[in-house]
Amino acid sequence: MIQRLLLLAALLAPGVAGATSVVAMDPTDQAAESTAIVDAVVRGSVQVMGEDGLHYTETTLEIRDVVAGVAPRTVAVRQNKGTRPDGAIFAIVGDAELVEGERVVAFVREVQGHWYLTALGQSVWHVADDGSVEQALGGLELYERTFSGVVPSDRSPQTWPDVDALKADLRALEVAR
Amino acid sequence: MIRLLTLSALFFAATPAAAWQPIDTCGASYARWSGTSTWRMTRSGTSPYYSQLSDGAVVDAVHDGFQVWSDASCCSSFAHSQGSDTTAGYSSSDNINAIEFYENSWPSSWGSVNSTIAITLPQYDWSTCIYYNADQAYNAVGFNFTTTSNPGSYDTDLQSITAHENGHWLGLDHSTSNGATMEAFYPGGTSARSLAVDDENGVCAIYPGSCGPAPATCPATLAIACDDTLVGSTVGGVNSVSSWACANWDSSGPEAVVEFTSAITGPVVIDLTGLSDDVDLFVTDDSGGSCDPNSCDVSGNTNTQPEQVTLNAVSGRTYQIVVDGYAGASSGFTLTTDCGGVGGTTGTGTGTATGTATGTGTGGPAGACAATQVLPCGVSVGGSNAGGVNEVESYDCSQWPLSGPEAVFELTPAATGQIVIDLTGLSDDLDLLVTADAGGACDPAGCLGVSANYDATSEQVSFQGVAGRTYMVVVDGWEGAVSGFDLFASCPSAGGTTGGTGSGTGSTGTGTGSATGGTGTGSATGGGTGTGTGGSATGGSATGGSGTGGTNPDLGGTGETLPVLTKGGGCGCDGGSGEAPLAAVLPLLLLALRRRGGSGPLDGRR
Repeated sequence: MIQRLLLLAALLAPGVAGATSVVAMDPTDQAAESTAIVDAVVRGSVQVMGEDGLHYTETTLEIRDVVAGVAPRTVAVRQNKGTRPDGAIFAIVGDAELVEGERVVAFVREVQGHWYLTALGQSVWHVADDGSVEQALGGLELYERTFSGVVPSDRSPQTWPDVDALKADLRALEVAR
Repeated sequence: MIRLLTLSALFFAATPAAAWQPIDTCGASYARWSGTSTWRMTRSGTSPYYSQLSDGAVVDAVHDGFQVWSDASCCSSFAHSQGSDTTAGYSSSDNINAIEFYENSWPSSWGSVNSTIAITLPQYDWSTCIYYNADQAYNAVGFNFTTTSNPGSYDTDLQSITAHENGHWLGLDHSTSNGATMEAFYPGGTSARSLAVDDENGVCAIYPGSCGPAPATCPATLAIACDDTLVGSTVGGVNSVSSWACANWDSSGPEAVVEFTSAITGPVVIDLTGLSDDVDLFVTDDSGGSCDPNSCDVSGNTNTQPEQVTLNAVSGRTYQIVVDGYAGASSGFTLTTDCGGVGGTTGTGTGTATGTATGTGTGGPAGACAATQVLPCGVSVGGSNAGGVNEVESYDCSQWPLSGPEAVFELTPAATGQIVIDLTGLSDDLDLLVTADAGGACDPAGCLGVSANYDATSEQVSFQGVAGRTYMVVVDGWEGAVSGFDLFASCPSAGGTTGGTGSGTGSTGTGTGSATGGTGTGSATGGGTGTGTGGSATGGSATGGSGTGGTNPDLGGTGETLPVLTKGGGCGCDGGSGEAPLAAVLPLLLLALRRRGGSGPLDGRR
């Protein structure tokens, strides 16, 4: 029963559900557009109004290890999500949910002084206490580019047995900047 | 940690064999729209929605991407409509459901420009689980959207994406059931344009409908063009739709449904005036020649106040304009469209032939109100209903006994506009009716107009014809009456809209009349010219040369005269090439529910 309630709670949490059409990006693709790959713990978040007029939630990542690239001790990742003044909740379907206290491995990039996940939910692997990892693909619809057009992908993303194996592969990648 | 495990469990659940999921449940019901959701295309200045496609193609793809969900075979009640354009874009606070193509830059918070194709941002009230707003953004910086069935290298099929994104719009999460539109992993191609069973299960669970009678329809019987005026009436008409998605009041009055195909992309102002009772103005999408009560915009002022709707039209797209009565009301009306006076292209005029051909013969068999003759435009056709068969005694626009035999003519105008049909030369009480085409026969339930004067008084019916559409012209006798007659149809010349210059000279026409079921002779006069200048030319008046009625075996053997014996005498086919302004063929009384013996209400009594 508790498990069911917890599962329901996860379902209810904004940002868990939803979907967005994206071309699948493997780690190499993402690294080419990232500033850094980090192993971090999720800390608190705040809502801000961006210079572009969009509402953001900035979630702090306390970095344990910079796997590739360069990053400061903490970064505040901006996501287009939050709660409106009238109480309505919103989030880009397919964006990652960063839960305070959890450990993640993430591709991040810095643009004009602000940090973002490189490719929404594709850029986050949630790390469990036993070291297993799961990519945050909830709510994403994966496509791929082909010579006959951009078409839905029938390939499952690569998986790793644990965080160490994941980081070992990612550490070999070269980030863009 | 427990939360993380459950989160992981959720992700693991999103593997093949899982079914549809709602975006959210809010602890009670599914997150969803309440009533019809209205989406709006974002336009910046005068730019097209998306530079690589016409506005019409974009709207069609978006619309079809929604409609696939509305059309779910399980009777989904999901309803959507297109609202007027907006300059607003993706926002989390304006409650404008904007759909925007980003061509210059793609915000970093929406993911890599090379990865994210489109996003949807649903916003809903946690306590009610009702959507406030949902915006969509299409990444036209990193992707080239197309509407072809065979996209080229790196092209993206727009409708597949819209169908998918619109699933999120209405509240569906992704599904991993094989083949579902909302699935994360499935074979490529354009299969995502259609729904799988799992998709249907999802939309029907969130928007349960009822598999009752087919939704009400209101087929268009009239037509109006850009910068046009139409005078008509709903008095005596039929009530097909009493409830509209865009109105929360009783619309149980009869409708007049007017088909409008826009000649421009942009705002079209539609005015409804001259009202004597409380009728309202609706504008809907076209649904196979009928209005769509679930996709509409409305002006619903009280009493006899004028109504106005500004339609954000797409050139070449067809809409249905509906005049409907509040709580049973009906009224005459004047309908106008203002497209801004934008000129059209140079048109070509066609001269109308005038000529007569008459014949006499011996009766043959008649069909079940089947057309036995063609009534050409501009050609006087003589005939008689004597010796014919009485197949129809009642029409939906007549409430008196038309027990005489019918003579039925098929009329197909070459141009859209007002058509005036005159029935003259009567020796007894014949009436004139125009109906829709029911497979080559008249449609007693699809009456478009009637003229029913007493005795041998001539009759006239005016109606708004649509180019290429076939109508049935019926001459029928009151209480068994028979008579000879002359029938003449005045049609608009086939021409372009205002603008352009045309000139031409009609050559002498020649024609041959042929009789069906009898021996006839015909004659016509020829010669005519048509000229056009500055968009106000008139079609040439070329007249037929001479026609001679053909012969037909005497099938009846009774010596009676066939209802109609000749097919057009002369053929003045080479009319002038000129501009035929729509203004010349416009406003008039349509639906011509002319009352017998005067202008009183249609009372069903002789």
